[in-house]
Amino acid sequence: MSGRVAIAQKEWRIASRDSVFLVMAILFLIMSIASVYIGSSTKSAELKAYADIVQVARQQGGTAPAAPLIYPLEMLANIVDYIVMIGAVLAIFLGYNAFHSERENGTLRILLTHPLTQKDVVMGKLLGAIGMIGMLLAATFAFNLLLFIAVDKLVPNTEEVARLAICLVMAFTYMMMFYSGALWVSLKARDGGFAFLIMMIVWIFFSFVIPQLADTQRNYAFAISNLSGLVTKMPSETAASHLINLFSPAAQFTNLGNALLQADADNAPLRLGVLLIRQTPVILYLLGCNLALLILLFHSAKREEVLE
Amino acid sequence: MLVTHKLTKKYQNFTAVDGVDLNIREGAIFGFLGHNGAGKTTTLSMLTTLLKPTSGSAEIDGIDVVKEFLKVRGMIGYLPENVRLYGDLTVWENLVFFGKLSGLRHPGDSIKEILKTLTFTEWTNAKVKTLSKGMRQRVGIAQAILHHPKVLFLDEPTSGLDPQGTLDIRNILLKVNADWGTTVFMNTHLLSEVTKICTDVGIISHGKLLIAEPLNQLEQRYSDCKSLEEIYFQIAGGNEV
Amino acid sequence: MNATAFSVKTLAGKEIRDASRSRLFMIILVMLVALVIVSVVLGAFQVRVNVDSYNQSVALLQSIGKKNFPAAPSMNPLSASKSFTNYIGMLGALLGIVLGNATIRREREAGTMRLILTRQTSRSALVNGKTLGNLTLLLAISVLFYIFSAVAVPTIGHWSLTPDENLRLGFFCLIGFLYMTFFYLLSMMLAIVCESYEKALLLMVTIWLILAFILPQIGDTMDMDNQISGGFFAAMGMTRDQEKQVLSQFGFYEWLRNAFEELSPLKHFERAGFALLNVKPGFESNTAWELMGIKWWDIACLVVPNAILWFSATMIFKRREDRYL
Repeated sequence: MSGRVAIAQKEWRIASRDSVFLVMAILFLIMSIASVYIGSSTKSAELKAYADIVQVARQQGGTAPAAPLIYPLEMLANIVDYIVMIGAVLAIFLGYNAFHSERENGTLRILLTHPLTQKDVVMGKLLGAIGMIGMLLAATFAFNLLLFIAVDKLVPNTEEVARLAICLVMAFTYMMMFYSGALWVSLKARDGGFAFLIMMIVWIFFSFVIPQLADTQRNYAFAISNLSGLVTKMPSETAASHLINLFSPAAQFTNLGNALLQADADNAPLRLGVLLIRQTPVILYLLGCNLALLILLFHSAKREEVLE
Repeated sequence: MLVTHKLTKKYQNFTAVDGVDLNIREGAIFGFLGHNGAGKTTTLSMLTTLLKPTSGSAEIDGIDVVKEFLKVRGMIGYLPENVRLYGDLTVWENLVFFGKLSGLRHPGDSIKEILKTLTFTEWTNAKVKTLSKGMRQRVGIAQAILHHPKVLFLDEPTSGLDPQGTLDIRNILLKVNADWGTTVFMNTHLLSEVTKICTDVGIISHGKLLIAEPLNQLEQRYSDCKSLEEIYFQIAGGNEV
Repeated sequence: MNATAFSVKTLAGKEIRDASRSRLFMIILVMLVALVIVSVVLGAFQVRVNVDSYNQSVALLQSIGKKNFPAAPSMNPLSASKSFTNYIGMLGALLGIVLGNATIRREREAGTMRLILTRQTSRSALVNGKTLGNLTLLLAISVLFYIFSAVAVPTIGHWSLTPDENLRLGFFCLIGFLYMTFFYLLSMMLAIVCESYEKALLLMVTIWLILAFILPQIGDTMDMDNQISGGFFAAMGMTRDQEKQVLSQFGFYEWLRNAFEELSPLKHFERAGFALLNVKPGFESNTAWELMGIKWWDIACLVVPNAILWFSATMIFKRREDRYL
C-alpha cells in the first residue's frame, strides 16, 4: 500500500510542477467560477427584461406574458459544459504521458525492480489522479456553492446541494473515464505526442462527432416532419438521435448533468429521487464504461511489453 | 548468491538468451561482457524480474526470481542504461520516492548518508533535469543502493561518461562492495573497466554463455594473451583491431 | 525557377507526402469526410423533400384545372452544407493543429532539420515551403467539400444551384480554409517557440479550447435569447424591433458579450459562414460579393491574424538559430 501511495504522491508533485497542467486546472476553476457569475447575470438581465416588458404591456393596457420559469440551480448549469470540454481534456493531460514518460526516462524499469507489481504502479497512478481530479471538483463544488449564495443571495436547500454534489460525483466518473483511457493509451503508445492526439481524437469523437451526428439526424427528422405538418416544435431528441447518442458518454453525461442542475425543461420539475430512478441507466452506463476501461488497463499492465 | 539454470528467453523465432548457466559468489563484482545484441540486457532483465524467462530458472540468495519476484525485488538494486529519473523532482524528492518504494519508512537518514558518500550533498535540492549526465548517473546509483541491496545490477553504468565521471562511478561501486559486501552484476562492453574493477567475468555471444569465471583464473588460462581484449576476441570471436 | 523557389516547392511536396503517410492526419480526415458526407447527403435530401412537396402541390393544382400556381418557396439549398461549419470548427481546427505541430516536430526528432539547413535552403524558405505544402492540403479539403456539395445538391436534392449560390458556397469554403489556416499557423509557431514539442501541443490545445469553445460558450450563455428553448423573446411574443428595443437598454452587457465573441476565430467563421449559407436570416437578397463586403470585418479577423502569424513564425524561426543547430 505504501508503494501505491508513494507513486500517487509523486504523480501529484510532478503534475503540480507542470505549467500546462496548472494552466488548465486554473482555467477550469476560473471558468467554473465565472460561469456562476455569467449564468446569474444573464438570468438577472432576463428578469429585468421581463419586468420592462410587463411595464410596457401595462402602459399599453395589454396583458403581460407569463414570467419565464427559472430554477436557481440552473445558473450553475454551465459547469456541465466545462466538464465535457475542459475537464475531460484535463484528465487526458494527466494520463496521456503517465507510462510513456516513465518508460522514456528509464524509471519504469527501476520502479519494477522495487517490491511492486505492475498492478501497484497502475493503482498508484490511479490514486494520484483520483486525488487530483477529486480535489479539483471538490474546490469547484465549494466555490459554486459559495458564489451561488454570494452572487444570487440564495441559500440552496438540501435537495439543491445534493443535486450539485451528485452532478460533480458523476463529473468525477466522467473525467476518470478519460484519465483511464489516456493511461491505457500511454501504456500502449511509444510516443507521447501521438498518445495525446489519439486521445484528443477519441475525445472529439465522443464529445462532438457523435452528438453532432445525432443533432444532424434530429434536424433532418424535424424538417421532414415539419413539412408534412406532423410536428411544429423541434423535439429534444428523436428515437434515432437517442440511439446515436447512446454511443457518446459525453452526451449521456451532459443530459444527466443538465437534468440534475435543472437546466433541462422536461426534467427540471422532477424531485431528485424520481430523477435518479429515471436516470439510473445513464448512471450505470457511465460507471460501466469506467469499469470496462479499468479492467482493460489492469489486463494490459500485466504484460511484459509494458517495459519495451 | 546468484545462480541460473538453463535460463532462456525466446521472442517468437528469435532466441535472445539460450540456456545460460551462471553461479556468482557472494561479494563478487561480476562483469558481463558481450557485443551489442548478444543478450546481456535480456539476461539482466530476467535477473531483475523485469522479464519472465521462457524456460530455465534463476535464483538470488536461494529465492526464485519468477515465483517470488516481490521478495527478490526487495533484495536488489538496479540502475538501467541511460536513466533520466524524474526531471521535475529534486534529487532529494527522487531519492525519497525510490526509498519509500524499497520499503524504507523514513528514508531521510539513509539518503543523507548516501549523498555524503557520493559527495553529492550540495545538489540535494537541485532538480534532476538540471544535472549533467555524470551527476544524474550518481543519483541513479544512489537510488539503487539506498536500501543496502544484496545484489546491485547495473546496465552499462559508465556509458557516455567522461573520465572523471567513470572514475567516480568505479570508486562508488568498489566502496559499496567493500563496505556492505554487496554483490555487483555489471553489464558492460568496456573491457578496460572490467580489468579495473571486476573480480569475475562472463562472456555472452548470440545468447549463449561462453565463459563465466574469476578474472584471475581466466587470465591464468589465457596467459599467452597480453590483454583482456585479446582474451575476449579469442573467446567471443571477431577481429581484433 | 530560382533556387529558393525550387527549395520551397520541394519542401511543400514533401509536406504533402508526409501528411498522406501520417496515421493521425488520415484518421481525422476520414472522420471529417464521413461527417461531411452524412450531413451534406441528409441536407440534400431535405432540399429534395421540399422540392418534391412543392412539385406535388403544383401537380395537385394542375389536376383540378388550376392555372395559377404559387411561387416556389425558398428551398435554401445552401443550408445543406451548414453542418460543415461545426465540423470545420472542431475537426478542421484539430487537423490544422496536428499539421502545424508535426511539421516542425518531425524534422527535429529525425534530426533532418540540421540536414535541410545545411543545404542551399534558407530558414524562411523552409518555413514557407512547409506552410505552403500544408496549406495546399487544407485548401484541397475545402475544394473537395465545395465540389461534393455542389454535386450533391443538384443530384440528390434535385435543385440546381444558381451561379451566385455557387459563388456563395465557394466563398464559404474559402473562409473555412482561412479558419483552418489560423490554427495551422498558430500551432506551427508554438512548435517553433516552445522548447518541447509536446508542451507546444498541449499549449495549443489549451488555446484552441479557449478560442473555439470557451469564448463562444460564454457568448452563447450571455445571449438572453438563448436561455429558453425557442428563444426568450419569442416566448414573450415580441417582434424583432421590440427585441432590439429591449436589448438597447442592456448596452454594456451586449458589448461585453460581443467582445467575448470577437476574440474567437470560430465566431468570425460562423458569422460569415452562416450569412453566406443563409442559415442566419436577413441575407437572402444579397449577392455573394455584397455579403463579402457586409462581412468584411469577420473575414479580416481571419486574414489579418493569419498574416501576422505567418510573418511572426518566419521571423522567429530565422532569429532563433541556436535552437536548431
